[in-house]
Amino acid sequence: MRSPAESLALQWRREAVLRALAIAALVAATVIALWRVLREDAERVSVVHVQLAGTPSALLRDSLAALSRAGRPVSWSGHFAPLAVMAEPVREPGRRWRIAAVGSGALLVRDSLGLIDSLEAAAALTLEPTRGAAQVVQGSTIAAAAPLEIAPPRRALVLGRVGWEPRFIITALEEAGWGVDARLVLGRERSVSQGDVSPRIERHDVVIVADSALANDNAPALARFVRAGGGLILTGEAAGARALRALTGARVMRSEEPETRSFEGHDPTHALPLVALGDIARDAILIADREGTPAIVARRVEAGRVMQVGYADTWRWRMEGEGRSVEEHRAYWSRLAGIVARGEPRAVSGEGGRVHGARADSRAAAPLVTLIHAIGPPAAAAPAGASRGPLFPIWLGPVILLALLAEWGSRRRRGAS
Amino acid sequence: MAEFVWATAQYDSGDWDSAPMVAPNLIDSVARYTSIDVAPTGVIVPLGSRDLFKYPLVFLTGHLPVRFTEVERRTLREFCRRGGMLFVDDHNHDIDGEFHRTAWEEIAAAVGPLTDLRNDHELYRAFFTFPDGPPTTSHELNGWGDNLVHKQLQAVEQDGRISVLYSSKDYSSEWNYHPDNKRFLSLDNTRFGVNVVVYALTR
Repeated sequence: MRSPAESLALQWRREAVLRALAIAALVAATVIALWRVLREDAERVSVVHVQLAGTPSALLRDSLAALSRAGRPVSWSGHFAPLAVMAEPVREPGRRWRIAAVGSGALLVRDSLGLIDSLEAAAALTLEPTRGAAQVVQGSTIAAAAPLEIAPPRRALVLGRVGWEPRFIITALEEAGWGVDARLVLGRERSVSQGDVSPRIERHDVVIVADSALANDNAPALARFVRAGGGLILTGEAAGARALRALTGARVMRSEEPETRSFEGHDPTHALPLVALGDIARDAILIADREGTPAIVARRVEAGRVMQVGYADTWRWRMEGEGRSVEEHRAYWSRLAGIVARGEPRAVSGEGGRVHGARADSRAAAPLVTLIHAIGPPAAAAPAGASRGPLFPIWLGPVILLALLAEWGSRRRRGAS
Repeated sequence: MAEFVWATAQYDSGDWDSAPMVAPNLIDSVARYTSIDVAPTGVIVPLGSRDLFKYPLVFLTGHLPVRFTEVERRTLREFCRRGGMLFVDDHNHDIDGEFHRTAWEEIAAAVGPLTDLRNDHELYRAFFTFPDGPPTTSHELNGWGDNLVHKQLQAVEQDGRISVLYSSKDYSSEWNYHPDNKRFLSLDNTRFGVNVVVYALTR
């Protein structure tokens, strides 16, 4: 039989144990809560996830890429249309731009002054220079092409024998805004000249030769001109000039007469004689063909370019063609000359390339591709660690409650005795 | 097909074929003085036909009143817009004559008004040099027609090029002879015709 003093001491010890248990549970709960908070915050910082509602700024994109490269897991999600735009100066007189865009629906073209035009999913348009970067918008996605500038071609030189083809090439180029010099041979030691036909052909941006004998006679000068950055077009029979074979990208295979001389109802080039090209060099580019027969081939030669144009008598297209044949013939020759003309585009300096206050760079031209390249494809859902769970374990509350009840019950029993 | 074919315009009104020897004579001169690949015979092309567009230089002459049909007028306008050149010569050598008056009206309606062509125009240096402008003809010097020596030709110019060249000097009579007879001339009087051909082929 325990004495009252022993029973009281036993109750005190029991209460002390229960109290210690309750205090220990409270301390444990506090420690666990603090530990979870710290751990989850640490996890939250280590996984960077961005929910995008549109095109990210270059600053955000580059920051995410930097974090990713520094080893921090980075992910993103959100709707972001695949979109790309390209803007380049038309290498012809007139300082126009050619803007090509690819998207998945209707696209809007705009600049810093506002809307310019709308395009289908994949299309191009030629227009006056935009104010700032050319932007293509689809939904909340914006692709922006930094403007480029190029010194517009100044002068073309036409060499040939007196005839309608060189005459109408000159006409077409002049109407398109080119300054044209010409030397057209007319008999023995006789020629008709227009403008500057001095031997210093490097003053010109492009030389068009429409006679094979003239191409052969001037081959060394023409080769120097091309290697120094000039553009050379060999048209008709001149496309096969033997002395320039080291420069050209294709060989002349045969001459083809057109199936018809009528321009009605079909591609006008089908009514033109063709010097068929073939055996195209690996570094040459096929620009155009007629039913599989190479007709126009271009090749870069050091700093310059050489183009062979197999079509002859294109003047007949202008004179005898249907509809807008004059304008088409003019644009045709201006475009060919522009393709090979001297000069490389370069980024506009100053304010011209700013988009929404930030400078447009080439990476903004295809924002989705650029973002995927920088930090990977979009995540299917936000990472699980991103949501915070309950601070305290679920079992901790009942434990504390039971300990406190037991301690209270012990006191009640002590008081009753 | 030869590079150059001399073409004479055939129009519904008037006498378009009043100088049939001009064509062989000019063809002879072009072949004689230049290396241009010229067809040995000329062609006659209706002014209202799309065949007109096959020949970027076309010669037109006559004595009688000229009244183009609407098709001729429209075709000539388009011919010049595309870069063709019409060379018109008054076979009457008479600025008070019917051909001159009506031809001027028709050209103005179809293409535009004729204005005097400077005598230092490149046409006069295109091949042979004519420092004083268009060469005179024996018909002018003999006082036939309007009894005038015309100092200038007229032209409609488009984008710096001659679209219509008009002469009151009667080259149609001056050049209307068989080319074999050139040997009787101290100076070939068709040389200016070569300039017209070379100009059209180079400008």
